[in-house]
Amino acid sequence: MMENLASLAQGFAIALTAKHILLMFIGVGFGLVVGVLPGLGAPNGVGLLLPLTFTMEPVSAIILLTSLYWGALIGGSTTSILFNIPGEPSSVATTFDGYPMARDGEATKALTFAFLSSGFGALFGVIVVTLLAGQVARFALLFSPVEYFAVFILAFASFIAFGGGSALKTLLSILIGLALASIGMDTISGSVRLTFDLQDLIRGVSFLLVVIGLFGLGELFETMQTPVSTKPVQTRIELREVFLAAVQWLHYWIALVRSALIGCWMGIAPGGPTAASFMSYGIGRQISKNGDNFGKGEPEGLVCAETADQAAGSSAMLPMLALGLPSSATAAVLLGGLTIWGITPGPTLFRERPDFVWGLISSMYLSNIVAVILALATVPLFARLMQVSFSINGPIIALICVVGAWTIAGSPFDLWLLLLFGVIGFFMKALDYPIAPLVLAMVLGDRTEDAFRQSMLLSGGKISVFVSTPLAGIITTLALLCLLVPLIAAMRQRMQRI
Amino acid sequence: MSDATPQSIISRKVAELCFAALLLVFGTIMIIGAREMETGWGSSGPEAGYFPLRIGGLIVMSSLAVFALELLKSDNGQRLIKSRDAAWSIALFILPLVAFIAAVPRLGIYISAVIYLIIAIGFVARFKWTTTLAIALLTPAAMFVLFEFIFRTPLPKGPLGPLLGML
Repeated sequence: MMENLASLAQGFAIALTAKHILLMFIGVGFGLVVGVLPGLGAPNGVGLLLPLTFTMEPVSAIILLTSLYWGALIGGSTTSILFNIPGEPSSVATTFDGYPMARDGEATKALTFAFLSSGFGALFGVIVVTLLAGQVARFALLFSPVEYFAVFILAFASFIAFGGGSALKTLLSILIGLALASIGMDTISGSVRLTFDLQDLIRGVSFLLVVIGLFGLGELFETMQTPVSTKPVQTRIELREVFLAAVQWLHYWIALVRSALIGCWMGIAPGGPTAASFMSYGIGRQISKNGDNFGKGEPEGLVCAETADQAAGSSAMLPMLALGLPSSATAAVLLGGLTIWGITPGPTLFRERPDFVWGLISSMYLSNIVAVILALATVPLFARLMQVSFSINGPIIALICVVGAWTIAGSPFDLWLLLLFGVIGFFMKALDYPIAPLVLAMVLGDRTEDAFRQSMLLSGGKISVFVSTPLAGIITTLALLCLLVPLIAAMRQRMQRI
Repeated sequence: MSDATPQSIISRKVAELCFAALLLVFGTIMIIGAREMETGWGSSGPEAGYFPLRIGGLIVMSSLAVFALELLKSDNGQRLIKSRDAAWSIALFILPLVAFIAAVPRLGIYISAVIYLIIAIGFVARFKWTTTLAIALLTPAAMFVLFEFIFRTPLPKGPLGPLLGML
């Protein structure tokens, strides 16, 4: 524990430079824009900016991109509250009570509650990361390829179990991600595969392209068919009201701590912010004495959703750094970034690049405070931005997506792939295929396959190797149990019908 | 639902079936591609085609399952695209984008972007010409400053190349 605090102090020395604080402001500002506009979510925003950070110092790059993530998570709640349009999937639960509050004339209170809860959730998450980092890294040192493969399978299985929606469609999403990842150079044998003699496929399909296509263009296509009403309820923020709301907000400390704990759990065990906010909202409705008011403009519902959302987002950094295991789509994109910057995630990262790890962790304390302040200050600005007709915003966002795709490799072929993924993204959204598992599987694809092949080599081809050590056995069993969850749910449904 | 628009736009059930069929094709292509490689065991464990072959197989099986389950369901009247107007606005959004992407290798990003924005905002969305021109010229100009000087990631300039190079 003490060593963690010492490392944290060193991290602050890195994060508290003028350059990095400026990067936090830029990142958060960009993130707020991205969170507010449809078609530009957190995964997509990070994906668009990532190619431009290739030449930066890794610490500076990760500070910029994570700040963008925090900004987007908070920005998503602004539109949820003022327009009843979730800017991010993870802020859907925020609309349930946030919009009714705003509609009834309590917009300032709702926004203040949302931002403060976000900030609290984020800080709670960072503190958990700070306290557990050393221990988790030491634990991860026990992992061999066998355990890694089991953990990857557990990550996929938990999406199938807890992702909501059709288990079969989630499975298909994961499989497509794995399939796309296997195109191009095979990392073990070096041979080129699945390219069908297309020169452009030899370098593989970039996960960034898939992210920009599925999340960006796909969402734009969908938004085009249902023009949204963009009349905000109220956009003026009075400082006095903010303070009054902040005092009231403190009364919800039980809900805050409970939601933060749920968020951290869902952030560290794969689940991600979206699942966390729904779960926290659901649990809050069941056990809170205000539960009956949830959905009608109950501040506690807003607190539950927002706190868990942001706590999950920030605590997701821990498994990403220590195991290379992202628990949300944005974390998956960031993980892809690590590899590009030449940083290998995993337990040894904590020993070899403490500057990177602790620079990031300490920056999270500051950038989340920056995010709360900037979010409050810019509400009127973003409410105006939302009122710009989508016929203008739409083409400009599409343009940004195309330019972003170009900066990945400068290839015209990529632009056509982008369009293809945009169309696929539209269908996936319309037909309820979840997109996040696909991105996760794509980023983890090569490492999943490598871990499997190395385990097979170690064991001489015996599949039983995945239960050969206690640790691997426990993880594999958990993964199999996760796969049973949808089956049991389906059977219970059938029983009830009879 | 609005009765004014004829409900002849793709039903959700048909869309589900088509998408599952598409995934089935994708899985089959994976299998064909994997079989061009060694799919068994070599001296270094499973060979390059081992994993893709099995992933392809699983995709084929799961998409068949989705297809079959969807066939058994009754059509619940849901639509993939809600009305003809919606179909039009999606088409009018995608077509200029396709033209834009086709133009980039020849005209570069900047000229293509100006033309694209004029078409999308001026012709399709019918905004005033002053608004359209302001957006269509200022956006690429801002992009130029951003990418050329701040990000230092040059974008393709097409025939503008020699001209802008002198700046």
